[in-house]
Amino acid sequence: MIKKKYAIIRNAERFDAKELLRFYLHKPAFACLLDTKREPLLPNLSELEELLQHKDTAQSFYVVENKAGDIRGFIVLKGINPEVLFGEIMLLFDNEIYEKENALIEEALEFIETRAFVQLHLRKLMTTCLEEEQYLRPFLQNHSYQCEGCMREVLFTCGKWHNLETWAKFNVVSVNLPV
Amino acid sequence: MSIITKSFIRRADRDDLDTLIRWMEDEDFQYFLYGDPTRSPRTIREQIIGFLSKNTGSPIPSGVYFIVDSPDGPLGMISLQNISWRNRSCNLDVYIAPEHRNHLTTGINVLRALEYAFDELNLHRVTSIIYAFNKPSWKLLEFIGAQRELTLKDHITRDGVWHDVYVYGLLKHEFDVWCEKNTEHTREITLQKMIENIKNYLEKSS
Repeated sequence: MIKKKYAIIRNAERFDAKELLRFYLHKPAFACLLDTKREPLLPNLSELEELLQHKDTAQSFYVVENKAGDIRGFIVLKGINPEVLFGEIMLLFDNEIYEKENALIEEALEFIETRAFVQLHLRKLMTTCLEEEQYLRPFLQNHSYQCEGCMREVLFTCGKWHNLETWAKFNVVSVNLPV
Repeated sequence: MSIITKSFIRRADRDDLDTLIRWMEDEDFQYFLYGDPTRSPRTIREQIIGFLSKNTGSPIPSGVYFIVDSPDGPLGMISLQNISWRNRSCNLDVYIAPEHRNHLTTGINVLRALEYAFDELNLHRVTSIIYAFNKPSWKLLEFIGAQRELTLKDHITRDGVWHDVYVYGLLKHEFDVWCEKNTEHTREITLQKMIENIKNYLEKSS
């Protein structure tokens, strides 16, 4: 468990599955929860419990709590490609948390970036964002993420097509190192 | 003036296994496509068998694997992979064997595969992931009207150098506009025309 000024960050456990399911049920879907075909997944509670019970998953899923011990969201580092040293991050927070407890998300992001860039020596972190995720986009921009483009009409949900942006941040330490 | 060709596309089957293995062992296949040079021949073989077993005649396949064929033998392969029936989208990959590589053969058969994706499978979007150094491929897609939607900076390494990766997207209405504009040149190479030519050939040879 890591205690920051505003956030408490810990590995996810099977008991957190209910909170995680809430994010999967969100409409429109969170971009980072789409699968490789950009399709929303619909896991049930027992599947998520099983997922979080798995040691490898539990070590990449982190619960972000406030000082009162209430779960405010999840932050995930996944899809690490050791050949090209990049990974994907998932920021699962409701809009309300971006509005009212932004500092807590900043601490969570700082934690995951330290894990990725300093401990795992990754070069690049990537994430995706739907146009509806209006709080995530400026948040990424404010934390030196660059938009690498936008895939048009890639997801059909809520009766319409959605575009999907890809955002990335390079590790300033390793970016100039040879391959 | 319309373009005429003897090449055609057909569904890949088990008899193509040896040809596919030979192509997948080609250095270019691994350099330009998503190949991992450390894969063993056994892994390659298993991957191809996996491709072919997915390539069923199912009305809603998860992938469609075409052989670009000709009276002189197979020229290459085109695949529509990761088909999402929910999002009506797929990924397009193209490989033409080095000895048959030319813009015309590739272009004609990519057009046919796109026609199949949009007009037969009723897909809405085709995505293609192309390495930045593979200029002929992304030029071809741009020619057909695809848009470069993502530039993934320094995303892969080849021979110790970082390269960007481009992601192209082509929507059905964009493809329709392109086809409409180019009807005069493409009327002899459409899927329909290709099927008619194959039927005629089969009738003559029987």
